[in-house]
Amino acid sequence: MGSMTEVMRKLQEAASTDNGDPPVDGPVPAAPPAIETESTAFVADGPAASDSLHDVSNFSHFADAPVLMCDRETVKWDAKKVHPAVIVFHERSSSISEQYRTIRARLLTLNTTQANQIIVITSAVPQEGKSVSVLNLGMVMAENGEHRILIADADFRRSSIASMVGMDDVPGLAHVLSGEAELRDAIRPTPFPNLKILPAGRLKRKNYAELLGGSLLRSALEQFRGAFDYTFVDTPPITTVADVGLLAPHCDGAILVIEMRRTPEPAVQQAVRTLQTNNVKILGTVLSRFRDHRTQYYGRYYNYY
Amino acid sequence: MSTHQDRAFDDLRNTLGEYMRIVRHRWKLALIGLGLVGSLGFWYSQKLPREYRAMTIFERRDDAVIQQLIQSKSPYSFASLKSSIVLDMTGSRALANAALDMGLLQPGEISDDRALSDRDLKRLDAAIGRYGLRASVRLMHSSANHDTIQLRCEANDPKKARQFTIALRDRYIQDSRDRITEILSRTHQFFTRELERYQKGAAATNLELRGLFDEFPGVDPTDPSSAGMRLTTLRQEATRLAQRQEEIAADIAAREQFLMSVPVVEVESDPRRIAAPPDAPPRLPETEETIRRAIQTVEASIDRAVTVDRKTIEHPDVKTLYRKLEGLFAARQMLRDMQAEQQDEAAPHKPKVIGEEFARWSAQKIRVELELDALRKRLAFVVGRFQAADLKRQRFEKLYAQLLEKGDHLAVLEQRLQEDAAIVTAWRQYLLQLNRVLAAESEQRGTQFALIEEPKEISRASSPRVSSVFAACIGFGLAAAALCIALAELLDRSFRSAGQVTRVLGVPVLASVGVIATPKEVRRRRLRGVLWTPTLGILVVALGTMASLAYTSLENPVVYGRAIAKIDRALASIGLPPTALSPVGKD
Repeated sequence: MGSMTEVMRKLQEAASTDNGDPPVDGPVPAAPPAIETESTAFVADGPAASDSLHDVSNFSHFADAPVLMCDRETVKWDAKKVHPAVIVFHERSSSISEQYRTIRARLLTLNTTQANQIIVITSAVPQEGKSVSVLNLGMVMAENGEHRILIADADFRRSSIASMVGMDDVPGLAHVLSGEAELRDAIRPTPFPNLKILPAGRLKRKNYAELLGGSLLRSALEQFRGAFDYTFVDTPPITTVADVGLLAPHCDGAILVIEMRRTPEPAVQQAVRTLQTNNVKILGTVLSRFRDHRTQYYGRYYNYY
Repeated sequence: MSTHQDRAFDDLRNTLGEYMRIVRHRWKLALIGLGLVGSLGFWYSQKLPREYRAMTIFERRDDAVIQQLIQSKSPYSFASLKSSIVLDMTGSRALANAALDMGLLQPGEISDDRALSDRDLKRLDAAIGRYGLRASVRLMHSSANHDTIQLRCEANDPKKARQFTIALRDRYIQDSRDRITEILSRTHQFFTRELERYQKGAAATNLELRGLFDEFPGVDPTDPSSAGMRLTTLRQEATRLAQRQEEIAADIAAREQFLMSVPVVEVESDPRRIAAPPDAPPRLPETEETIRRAIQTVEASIDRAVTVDRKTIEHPDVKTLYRKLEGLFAARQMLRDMQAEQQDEAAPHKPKVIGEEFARWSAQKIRVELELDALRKRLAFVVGRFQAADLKRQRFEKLYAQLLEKGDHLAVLEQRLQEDAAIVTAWRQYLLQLNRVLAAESEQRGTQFALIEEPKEISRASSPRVSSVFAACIGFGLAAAALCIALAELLDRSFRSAGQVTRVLGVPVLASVGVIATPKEVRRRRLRGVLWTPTLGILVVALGTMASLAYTSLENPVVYGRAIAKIDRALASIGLPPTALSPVGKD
């Protein structure tokens, strides 16, 4: 491992020399050393998967990436605590990770103006894979180091983002929207220097609709839009609660997660109608748990690469 | 054009691909449908009534003589037997006889009449209906005197089918033999009667034709010329006898004249003075007698030649005899002339006869008297013969006149007689042949039945067929599988493809993310496997078992019966009810 650390150090020195930018605090590109150290340590704790993001080599390209974030801090994740469904974290080169990269490519294509966007990830019914999609999509968006990514959990009733990556849920978005915490305090670092996570947070009072309908939400969203290139907001299902109807109109678009062979077609149609009624631009759908022999067929070729 | 074709091909390909995708996704459900319905089908097929078929082939060769004897139109002809073979073998009577032979019907339970009554038919139907007995006949090969017959019987019991086949066949052979024997007997009787009738007719005709000339054997009534010749012969005979009569009378007269000219005194006073007769040849009477006997012999020969040998007078032999007879007559006449000359020469010496001559004259007189006496007897005989011959001639002339008068009728009679004779001859030949056939038939050498194929022991059912059962069960199973898939697809309101999402929602699909193999997902998959694998395994095993049982029940009922019996015993040992499957063919 010592030799690997030496190599990384040389790479970071070279990157620093090429850019000519000294490391600074604040919303400037994150410095790699913290990543190097923590990632190296994380590799020792996590599974020995060569293609996982635990490996420091996977972050080598962050060295000269124009990461603009409010904090360059990174943390190590205990791989055992990260949910296995966060496939981009565990198996970076898996075919499913590639599917999320496909979503990334589509989103980048759709965003022709290069404007910072807040995208709602929602679904028609619960348990369709919204949180998993948000986490994986956020990671693949962050892995090239070109964009500042925030994953915000707005599903206050059944928040799962924090638990899936093994972090504390408090303080979270709920606390920010209720004025009990600052946004800076609520946003958590990740192993990715350009990826932050904003947990949902738990409040004693359960009137979450009021939180989403308050002015603090718009303020928070404006801050998101100013600090991050892409903000992915995990929301509750459309057909069960009205949270999405309060939140989505303030966002730039929505991605609908549909679990194949499970989600009833009328429910999805109702969800689409709800979004359209709220003038929410539907960027597209993500089909989860998709079993198709054709994709399996192509997957064979993917292993070749 | 090519664009349309490509589009159509693409549509077809997409449709097929969609179907394949559905099948790939729903294969477990399809297997459930196939397994359940297929197993039920195979189970039910074991309860279907079985039909077993037995077959025998035999040939019948008919005797050529019988065919010639019996006309084809006759109800007893081989052609008629051939046309009625189906009825003879599978008719109600034949079935009833076979049922009696098999013991399905008891003697007396059904009448012996050839035509069964309604009551008999009901009993027969009940008897053969118990085993579903049916029979069919097919002429595999047929020629003028040779039939190859195939008899097939079907029943719901293999042994009964075989027994029924054998019973029907043996009955038919026996009935055919009896029938042929009956036919031959009747034919023989008929032939005998016909022969007697024609013989009587011929005898009557012959009597009518030949009766006229009974006393004239050898005379052909239908041949006037020969009868005329016979009449001529009779006339000649009468004439000859008359001539003979005259001749004898002349001889008698001559001798009486001689006796009158003999000197009486000398002769009576002194026989020694009787003058010796002139040198007359002493042998003349003997010669004449010899000629007379020769004439009688020749006449008898002529009679025999004309009557017995039926030779005409133009016949060389008869002519020769007549010439010989004329020669004899001429010789006798010469002899008589010589005697007359001798008498004329002796007359001048008559007065000289005294003493010794008287003795000679006396001897001469005695001799002449003796000759005279003999001539008179002969004359009487000839007269008798002449009268008989003349009477015969007269009768013959009368018959001859009738012959000439009834000539046409007699010719008809003669023709009829000839025809009758020919017919009688023909019937006699027929009868001889028939006797030979009867003798052969009694030894079973006439109409011959040869067995080509004996009904085999039946080891498998003819119906239902294995292929049909399997096709039906698999077909229904596949249909059920398709129905399950169709129902599942119809009831499934979820999205199944990206295209469907795009089409329904009008929203683009960013990506299709597969199933992430999380431990929970793995556990869920394993749990599904734990549930599905035994279920599908049981279904597959059930399907295979039922299919095997169905196959065995059709192909080898005995083994199937044993297997079912074992299964029933096993079920009974653990307190379960037995299978509802009857051990087909266990009997």
